[in-house]
Amino acid sequence: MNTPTPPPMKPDDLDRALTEMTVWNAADQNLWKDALQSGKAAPARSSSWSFETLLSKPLSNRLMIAGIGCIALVFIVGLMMPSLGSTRTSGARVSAQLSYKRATPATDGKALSAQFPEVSGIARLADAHELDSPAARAVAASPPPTPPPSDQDGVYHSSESWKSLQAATSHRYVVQKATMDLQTDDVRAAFAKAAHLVSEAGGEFVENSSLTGDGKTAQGNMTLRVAAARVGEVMNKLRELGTVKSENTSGEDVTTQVVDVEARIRNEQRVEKELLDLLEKRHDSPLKDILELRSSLSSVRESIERLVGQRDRLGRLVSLASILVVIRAEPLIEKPAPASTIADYFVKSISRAWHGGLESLSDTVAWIIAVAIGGVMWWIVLTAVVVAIVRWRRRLSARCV
Amino acid sequence: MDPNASDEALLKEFADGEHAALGELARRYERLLLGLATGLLGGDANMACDAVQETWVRVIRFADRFDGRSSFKTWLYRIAINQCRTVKARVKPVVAAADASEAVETATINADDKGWLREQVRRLSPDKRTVVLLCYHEGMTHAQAAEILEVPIGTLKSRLHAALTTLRGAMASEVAR
Repeated sequence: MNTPTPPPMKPDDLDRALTEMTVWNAADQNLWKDALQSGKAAPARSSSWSFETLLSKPLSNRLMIAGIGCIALVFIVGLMMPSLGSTRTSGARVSAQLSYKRATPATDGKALSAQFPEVSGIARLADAHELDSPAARAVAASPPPTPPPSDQDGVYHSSESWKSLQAATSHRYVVQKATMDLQTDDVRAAFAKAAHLVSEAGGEFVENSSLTGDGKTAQGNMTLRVAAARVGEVMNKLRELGTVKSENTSGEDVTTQVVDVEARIRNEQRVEKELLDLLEKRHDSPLKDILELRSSLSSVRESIERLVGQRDRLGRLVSLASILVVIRAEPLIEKPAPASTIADYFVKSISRAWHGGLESLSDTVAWIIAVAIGGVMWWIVLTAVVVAIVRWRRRLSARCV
Repeated sequence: MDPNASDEALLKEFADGEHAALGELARRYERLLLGLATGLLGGDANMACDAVQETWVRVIRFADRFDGRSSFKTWLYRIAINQCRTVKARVKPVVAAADASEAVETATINADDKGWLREQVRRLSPDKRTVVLLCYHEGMTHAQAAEILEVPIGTLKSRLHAALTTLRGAMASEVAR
């Protein structure tokens, strides 16, 4: 490489020489005309609003806009998460109701009534008695008996069932239930006395009982099954065992279930009789036919036994009422607190404020974590948008300037 | 078109379709830009013309996006300096691939006063080279140069001082030799 020749000028001439280095001494080039004529120089008309106008604002304004956007996004995510949750819940509720309409109440109604107790009384009724009875559903939906409804859900109402139902309204079958909350000084004594109120000779019994704690913390729970006719008498005797804090009685009409079960039993018994007659008359039929008849007879008898079991169970529920007794000790009478000084009040206030502040801080941190994790999808989208804008801005700047 | 109008007003007129306004801007700045580009591009007039023409292309394309945050002059010089960098980066591989004898010939041709100084300026770092040429450019103040280069004025002055020290040292050593 050649070394440039030494400069003949003095160091003082440096300023002048440097100035002359950036002076154009040739003729005018009119390059602007060439640029104007070239097709690629068409002016780019910007719209009234564009990202460019946004990005052309000062950095502080951009940061402020970005901050406001982030805060808005955080609040939107925070608002959307609970609303999405409620949407999911209501969606589940609707789908559960729809599936309930399609399914049999005796099976799906059980789960539905457990999850949504307010959904349907029909489901509870069918669940409680494990009956898939058309009459039960009809009565539960409209308590006062009316003429047979139109067959909207494809359920057949026999005229005999309807007559039986009308006849049964004159004699109601009611399952009685009662609860009583007692307070007494001596829980153990009251507990023992309550257990002796049942008359074993009359078939009454203590279904379950538990006694926990001691002294002032003692508590006894007991379920008595007493004859329906004696409910009033037993309740009166229970009231004498202590101070009644609350009391509740209820009755559930199971007349329709009873009528329905009896009607179905009679029907099955008629079918059994017909099968028996058929079997008697056609004793010389082929063995295959006889075996089929026996099989049918067996299934009918099985059905009769199941229905009889249901009827007996309903009968027990009706004949014996349930009384739930909760016996608690009398609460301690708290001594009035001594008059506090201003110093105590100040300390308590500070303590309360300290704990309140910590709780608020915990809630805030928990909320931020929930938003950060729950809105991770939004953060990814936001990051992608910001990165894209920054890259686009850089590319634009590189092209423009 | 008012020939006494400000640069910004002329640019707006051009953005609104008045081509003569661009001519007036070119009359005010094109020679200055060519001089600066020539200095930045090592005295290559053709490359300087390319860079200035590309500068006008950018001005025409983005005239309606000029937001007035800086003066038109600052905006224009910023475009021009960037275009000089672009042109230089585009041409560099060709020079690198060129025949060595051609480089020798060029060096011999430039072996006069300006050629020696231009060579010394070329040896400066890009930041210092730009600063020293911009600060000695006609009608350019230090504040304007700092705004164009988007550096604090203190930084600009320190770079200028370092560059001048280097150049004066080179000159002194050559005179002593």
